[in-house]
Amino acid sequence: MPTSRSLKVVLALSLLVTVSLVGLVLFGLLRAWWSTPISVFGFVPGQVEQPIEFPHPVHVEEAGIQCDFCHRSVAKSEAATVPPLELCVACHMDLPNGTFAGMGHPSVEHVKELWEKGEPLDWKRVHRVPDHVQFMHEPHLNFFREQQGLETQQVCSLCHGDVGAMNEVRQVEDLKMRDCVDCHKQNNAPTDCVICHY
Amino acid sequence: MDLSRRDFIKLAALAPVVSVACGIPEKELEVQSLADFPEDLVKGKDAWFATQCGSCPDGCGVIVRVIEGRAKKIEGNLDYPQNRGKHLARCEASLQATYHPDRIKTPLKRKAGSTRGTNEFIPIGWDEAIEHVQRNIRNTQGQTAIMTNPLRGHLGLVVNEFASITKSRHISYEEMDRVVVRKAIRDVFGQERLPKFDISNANTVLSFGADFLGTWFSPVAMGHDYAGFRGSVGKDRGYFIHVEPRMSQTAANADWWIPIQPGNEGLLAKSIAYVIISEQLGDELYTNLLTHNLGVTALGDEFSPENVAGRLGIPELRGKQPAQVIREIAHKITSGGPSVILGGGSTAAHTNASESLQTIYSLNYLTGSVGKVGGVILNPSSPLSEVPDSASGASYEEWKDVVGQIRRGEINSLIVHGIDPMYAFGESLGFSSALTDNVSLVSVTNFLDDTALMADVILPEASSLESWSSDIPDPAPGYQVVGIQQPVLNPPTDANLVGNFGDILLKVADIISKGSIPWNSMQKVIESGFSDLFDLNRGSIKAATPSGFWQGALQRGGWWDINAESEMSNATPMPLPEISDPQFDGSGSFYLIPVSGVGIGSGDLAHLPWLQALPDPMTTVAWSTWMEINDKEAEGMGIAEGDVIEIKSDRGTIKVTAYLSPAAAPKVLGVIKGQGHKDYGRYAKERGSNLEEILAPLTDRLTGAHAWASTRVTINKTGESVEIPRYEGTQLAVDPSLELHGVRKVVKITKGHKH
Repeated sequence: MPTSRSLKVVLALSLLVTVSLVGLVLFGLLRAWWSTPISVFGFVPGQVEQPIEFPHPVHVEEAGIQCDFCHRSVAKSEAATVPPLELCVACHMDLPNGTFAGMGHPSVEHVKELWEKGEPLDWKRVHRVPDHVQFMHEPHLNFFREQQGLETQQVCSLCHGDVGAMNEVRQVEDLKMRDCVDCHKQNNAPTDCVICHY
Repeated sequence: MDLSRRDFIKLAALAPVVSVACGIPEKELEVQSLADFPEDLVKGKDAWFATQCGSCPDGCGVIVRVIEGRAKKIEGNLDYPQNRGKHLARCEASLQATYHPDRIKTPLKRKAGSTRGTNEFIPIGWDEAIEHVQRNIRNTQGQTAIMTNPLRGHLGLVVNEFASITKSRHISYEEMDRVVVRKAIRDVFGQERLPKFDISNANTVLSFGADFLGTWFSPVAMGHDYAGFRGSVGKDRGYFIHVEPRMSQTAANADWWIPIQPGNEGLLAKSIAYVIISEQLGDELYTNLLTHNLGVTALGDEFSPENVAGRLGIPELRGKQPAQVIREIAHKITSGGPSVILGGGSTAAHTNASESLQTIYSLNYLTGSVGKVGGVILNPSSPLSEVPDSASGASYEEWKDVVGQIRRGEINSLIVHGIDPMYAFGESLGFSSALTDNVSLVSVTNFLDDTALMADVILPEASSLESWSSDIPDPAPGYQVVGIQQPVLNPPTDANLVGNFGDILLKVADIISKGSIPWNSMQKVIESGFSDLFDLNRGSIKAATPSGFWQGALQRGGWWDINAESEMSNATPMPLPEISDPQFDGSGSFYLIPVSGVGIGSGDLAHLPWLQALPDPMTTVAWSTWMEINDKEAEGMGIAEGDVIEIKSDRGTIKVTAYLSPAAAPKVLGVIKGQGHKDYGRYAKERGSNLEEILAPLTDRLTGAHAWASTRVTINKTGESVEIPRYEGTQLAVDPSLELHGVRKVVKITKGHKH
């Protein structure tokens, strides 16, 4: 028969273990949700306030710029990458009359100012997969371009939606594991766990 | 601070909540547009895969670093028993074979009506290509020959199966000295597989012509052992004697280099045996077996050092006459511990090569080295009974027979892979003239080599980095090893491939056998083989399931069982053979010794620029066909470095550039092999000369292997001179005016060169 003191110790330890386990599970769940949030608690996934306006339609639909002109690592790297400011400036400066396009627009002026100071522009990330998922843009883009003959913009829109028409970029697909596996199955791509989780 | 139990529990409960509340660091939710960002700077994650090299027959296990689906670097696999983390430059260069700008990426067919060798090909689809191959095999009804390099592992199994289904003749090519070595090993030790030469534990190593630190069989494994031989902790520094007409890389490492007249190595070995037997220095049991209990009378006094010395062409060395040298070698290898005696290279390329090598390898019995640590350790058989663990090339005479069959119309369909017989034999076999319009030649290759140029159809294959295969190293490290080759990247996106050679054969065999072949891809073949290994329930991979075993094999680069050693051979040592006099073709005053390149080998890797640029270890010359000549002799003939020299044999003439060396033996010309390709990509095309064109077609008396070191030549200046592409400097290594203790310490690397 255990003494009342040892019983208390056992109970305290049990409580400690239980609380820790619940905390860990909660931590895991919240972190997973935070990584790729779903629409709960009034949170709209991917809708974040950016430091400047960047109207994609002006650049994509009006100027006719392809996605991989700015996101230039998308066809050769894991990350699509956002363009460096020098690329923005290079285009905006490259006008026939030597003027800097878009001056007077606060966003353009901000970009020019940062570039002159050599400082980066911090965007808020819109699309994100959890840390335990490895996603590489390059093989996906090249597969659809070369095997199925899609244009770059068509390939990007499979996951990102019609970004070219968005004044504010938002997430349109869940980007959950179900989406990945479905797409891999449809295209006879491998579905081994280690393809994404390594 | 006092902390009550209640407070502790509260804090413990609070901790996870706080950690969640703190959440993800802000930075993780940001992405920066940097002000400047170099365009070629690409972020990437690397992955490392264990696989087999596949560049050459050495069988190195490698680790390949892959970033974003591209192989970036190849290193030795530390786990793999054959090379233990080391690797050849050839392994690294397999990246270039994969990303080569002249790689053939789609099946090609010779244009209708075009002449063979004119490089007039058109792309075709795989359906048409496979149809062409299988139709030819069906139509010729057992008149097909498959020509490959010697194949071990599962590719060997597939080719054997294919040859059986199609009733084809399978013939292999490798450097012919290896054919002789394998025959001698078979005769002396009674097994097909090469033994492990336990150099690392040996006290003395005596090598006859085997450039085992440079190009002979597995220089990585042997180089690793050599390091142990020279300097492992707790062991005396081993003593190394090397016998060879030319100072090779291995000769340069020896304590004692014995420059011998070509073709007399067997005579020297027999004289060493004479000393061991007559002075009773060796193992008594084997002495009796090797001499039929007759002792030294079985050899006769004609092999006493005094009687042999004058015939060997050995100069006085370190103040010792040749007879003293022979006696000293005999004493060295029989005293102080185990010895390894081995032979190959140019020693195995004379008309008396087999006799020489049988004598040389039999010395291991006399010294009691067979089956002993620090001696010659026989290797176990394959753990998979149907999978070949050793394969030998065919002899020159066998190849001549095949060409005769083609000429007579008994063979009408050829499938060539992994070799370039049109280049390797030059015009000596009349191969190209035997290819009439009735003969179909299919070349499975990624590069337009001399044979592919003559082909009707060229089939490209997935490279070793892109396909499945396996290897059983030969020589193995003394126990059973099966290496696995896995695809570590996809073929180029603009390539139209169906897999490697094995995959192509399986596709053809599937049609011909109407689906009765048990596998449909090399991947299935390898998986099946490793499933059988799992069933053995032993070795390096411990796994509860076949799937776990398979993953383990992929992770480590293969399977091995260090306890699976060979039983001692039951073979009775053969009596010491008679040694015939070497024959030479031509009456020139120089012995021609062809030299294999550490990079391009005998020309099979000449298409890779890294290997073309790899300096020869002795001359440091790259990118060209050079001739190494004794400097005093050259000066006497008015030859300077870079002079273009015409080498003339009774078979033909080639042009080479002269390299003067004080280390070259007089009357011996070392000439690098491997250049002079008709095409083979932009880095090899029409570069240098093909040495094979002037080699005499003499053969080893017993095996019929090409005696490629039995040509005598004359040399003439052409009057031209070029700057020789070499790595070493043009200045003397030490200031000639420097004197130390009254002795002038000048190391004269080369002659001075005007710039």
